[in-house]
This record gives sequence, structure tokens and C-alpha cells, in this order.
Amino acid sequence: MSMHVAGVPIEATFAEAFDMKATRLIITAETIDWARDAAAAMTGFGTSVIACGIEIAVERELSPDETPDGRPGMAILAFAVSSKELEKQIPRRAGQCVLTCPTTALFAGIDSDKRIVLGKQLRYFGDGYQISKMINNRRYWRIPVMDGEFLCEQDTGRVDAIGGGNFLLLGRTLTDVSVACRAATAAIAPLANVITPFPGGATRSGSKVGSKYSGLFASTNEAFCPTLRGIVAQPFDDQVKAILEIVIDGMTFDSIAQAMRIGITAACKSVGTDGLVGVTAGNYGGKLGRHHFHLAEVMK
Amino acid sequence: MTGVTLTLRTNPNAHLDASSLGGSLASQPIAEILKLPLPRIASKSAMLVEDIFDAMPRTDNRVVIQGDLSQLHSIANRWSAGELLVEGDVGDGFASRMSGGQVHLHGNAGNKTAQQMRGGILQVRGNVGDDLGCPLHGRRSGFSGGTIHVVGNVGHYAGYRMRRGTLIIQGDCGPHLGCDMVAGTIISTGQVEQGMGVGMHRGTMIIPCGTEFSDLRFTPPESQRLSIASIIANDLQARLPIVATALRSTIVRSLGDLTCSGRGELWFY
Repeated sequence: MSMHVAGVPIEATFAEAFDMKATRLIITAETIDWARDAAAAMTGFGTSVIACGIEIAVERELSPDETPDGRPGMAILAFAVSSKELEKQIPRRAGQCVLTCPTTALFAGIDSDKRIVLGKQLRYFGDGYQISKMINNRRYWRIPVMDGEFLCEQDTGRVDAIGGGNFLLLGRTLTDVSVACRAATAAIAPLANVITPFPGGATRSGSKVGSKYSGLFASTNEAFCPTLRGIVAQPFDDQVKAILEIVIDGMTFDSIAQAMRIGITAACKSVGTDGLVGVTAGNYGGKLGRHHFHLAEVMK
Repeated sequence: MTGVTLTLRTNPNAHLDASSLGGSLASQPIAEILKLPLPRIASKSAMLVEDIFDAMPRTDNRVVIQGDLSQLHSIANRWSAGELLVEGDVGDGFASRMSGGQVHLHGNAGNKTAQQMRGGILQVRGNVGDDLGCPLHGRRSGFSGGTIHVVGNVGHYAGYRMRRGTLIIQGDCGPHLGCDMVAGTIISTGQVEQGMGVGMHRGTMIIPCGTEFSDLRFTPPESQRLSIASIIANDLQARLPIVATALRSTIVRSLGDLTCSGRGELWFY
């Protein structure tokens, strides 16, 4: 451990991340409350590609002058391991979570030649009463619903992105690491181009690849479970009583690196050495993901 | 290539088919442009461009045609790329079958302007005759893509059988605006005469409050707030800021033409 932030040692290791496919959606509504509700529904059950299909979360809230229709809105980022999975999940979630939410409209949040359908599929709900409008080479669908019209853009862009940037906070107590974790995710939350898809931005169930049970391709990472100290080999000493991991998906390498730096700094400053034993990162020896975030370089 | 300015030197004293001054004109060398034929209408003879125009190269890539061109018909026919500026009045069939690029007319245009237009931007800083954006003879659909912006008045049957695109008319409209309209958007800021939206199947006509319409053909107007109106307002902000502001608040909407089970809409702002 050569680097320290607020006295907290930063381990000389790296976070290993993977290529993913991503998109951005913009939900607007008559009030920010409706937009939040739609976003909450759409991003539900979207913590990990392991079982949810996609990792999806709110990127940030948008003021009326930042949205296409001049209403308050939410920007959502979604990541999947394949474009096929993204194409399956996005229209399904848009149909069940945004179309259903009062006063909402749904727009593309990113441009790309590669597209994921939105209104192109949802228009059929209009049962022939839907109306298409082409404005500035973008097609919109107007679907009549009970509160007026659901406006939905034809499709949204799909881009290459990175998922799985991470860091682990090694805490002296569960309370300390929880406080540090909240500080980190609060610092990351305003950043553009990244999301922390787990509940509250953090996870306690860091996983390893595979399991003793056939059919499971991920299971608990016992090397990071303090309650198993003495039974399994662990890479930290007995001062560590609880560990939380912050997982970051981002549109670019630099945006994830920036989020890691800001998150680690906020966590360390929040509780210092009284609360944190150290900060480390999760990797698979560098064999699975081609994006390596070395903590020493990230924190420069 | 660089651009060219064609200036009318002498009046042709005949109605000419000037469809050769369109299409790929922007990519042709001046020497070739000067040899283009301008057939006399209803005659077997033809003139050449060099017979009535002077040509001067330009430092930019625009094609500019100047002079009283009211006897030259079908200028900008099949215009597909690049920018054309016409300074002076033109005859019929201006910008017919246009599919891309930009065409600006600083003058008046005759009948059947933008006939069967499919794309690009056409702006007319003057008046336009009848049948703006109409279909070619025997075709079902008229204007089907791009934007037409007329600063002046238009004659009757503007947007007849229009299928796609945006038609903006800042002046007054003659009878039967948007007649048999299939889809697309018409925006008018002036007075609209009788017969508006007759036979309208789909599409949107955005017209000033107080414009008379047939209550047999359209549903009673209702106040509504639509997100799509804000999107259209954004598109109109630079050209028609007053209309854009009006669209961002509540609009009054009416559906029709009921006599043909149409689902078109009139927006009154």
C-alpha cells in the first residue's frame, strides 16, 4: 500500500471491467415526481446482468430546458452484455414502466447509427389510432392514452460502453463502511455518463465466477466475507469487519476513472482511518475484462 | 467544383423548359452548363443556356441564377444536393421532384411549385401560385418529404395529397389548403380560405385561432396540451417564434375529415 487518501491506504491493485452495450433514455413528465416514478419503475430490478439482464439506473435529473419537450425529466443509462439483450429489455421496460406512468413521454438520449427500438414497437398499443410525426429527421409516435397522448421517439442510439468499474471499502465496522459508502455514492451521483446500478449505489454481495453448485455461474466471494475469517484465506487482516463494493458502469473509460477517483476520495474523507482500513478493487487476474482501472493511476 | 452565377442576359421571348437547370447542376462544370438545352415549350426547337445567360464562376459552392425567369419553367427540377439561389420570379414547376439540398427563391413562383417534392429545404421569399406540393399527373401522393417555407401567399390546393414533410406558409392561403392530405404538417400564419382540410385523412394543420372550418367535417375543438407540440415548437423557434411560443401552451384541437373517416387534426393556436 503505497498511496493514501486522508490517511486511508489505497491498495496497489486494479478493477477489471468489461465491454458492454449501452443506451441513454430521457423520460419527461408534467411534474418531476411523475418522471421520478417512471424512472424508478423502469430501473427496478436492474442491478446486475447476472440475473436482471441489464444494469440500469438514473444518470441524473434534467431541468425543463434540458429536455426535448421542455418538461422536467430524468436521464437513464442502461447497460447490457449484448445488443440483443438490450433490444429485448428496453422496449419491454418502456412499455410496462413509462407508457403506463401518467403524463410521461420517452425520448432518445444518445445518437448513434446503431438503434434500439422504442416507439417503433410500442406504437402498436395505439391500435391504429397512433400518429407518426417526423421532425428534423427524428420520428415520434403519438399513442392515445387515457390522460392524453404518450409521446415516444421511434428509437434510441446504442453505443459501446464499459461495465464493472469498481472499488471496495474495507471498514472497521459496518456503520463506518456504510457511512463511507454513502459518501462515495453521493459524490458519484451528480456525474454524467456513469451509473452505480446497485441499491443505494453499492453492493455487499461481491461475487466470484462459478460455484460449487452446477448451474450457478456466480456465487459469493468468500475471500471477502469477514465472517469466514479463519476458514478461508483472505487478503486483509482482522481489522476489517465489513466490506462494501461500489460498482460503476460508464460510457467511457475516463468517465469511470473519474467516478472512481471522486468516490474513493469522498469515502476516505468521510470517515478517515478511524472508519476505513483501506480501499481495494475487484478483478479476475486481468483475464476476463480488457479494461483495467489501476487504483494508483486512477487516484493521480 | 466551385459555384457559378448565371445571369439572364436577354429575354427568351418564349416559354422554355428549364428542367436542365436542376438535378446535378451543382456538380457540373461551367462549360457543360452553358451547353445545356432549354427546349421551347410546344415547339421542337431549343435554346442553349449560353444563348440567354452569362456565366461567372463563384468562390463558394452555390449555384445562383439571376434575372426575370418567369418564362423559364421547371427550374430546380429534381434538385438533389448543394445549394441553389434564384433571384427573380420563376415560372411553373419550380423545384419539382426536388429530393435534397437547399433551394432559395428570392421572388415569386408559378403554379405546381415543389410538385412531388421528396426531400431537402425549399424557401420562397415571395408568393407561390396554385397547387404547391401537388402530385405529378396520375400519382397518388404529392409533397412527401423535406420542408417548404413560403414567406408570401399561396394559391389554391396547396398541400394537396401531401404525404410527409413540413409546409410552412407565412402569408395567406387560397381555397382547399391541405385538401385530401394523407400525412405531414402544414403551418399557416395568415388567412386560410374555405375548403381547408377537405378529405383530410391524416396529418396536422396548425392554423391561427379564428380560422373558419366545417363543423360537419371536423369534431368540436377541444383544448389540449400535447408533448409533440413542444417538439414542433422547437423546430419552428427560429422561423416562427410567435407560433412556437403559442404551441408550448395549450392548443385547441379538432379531428377530421369525418366525412371520409379521416384522422387528421387541426391545431388552432
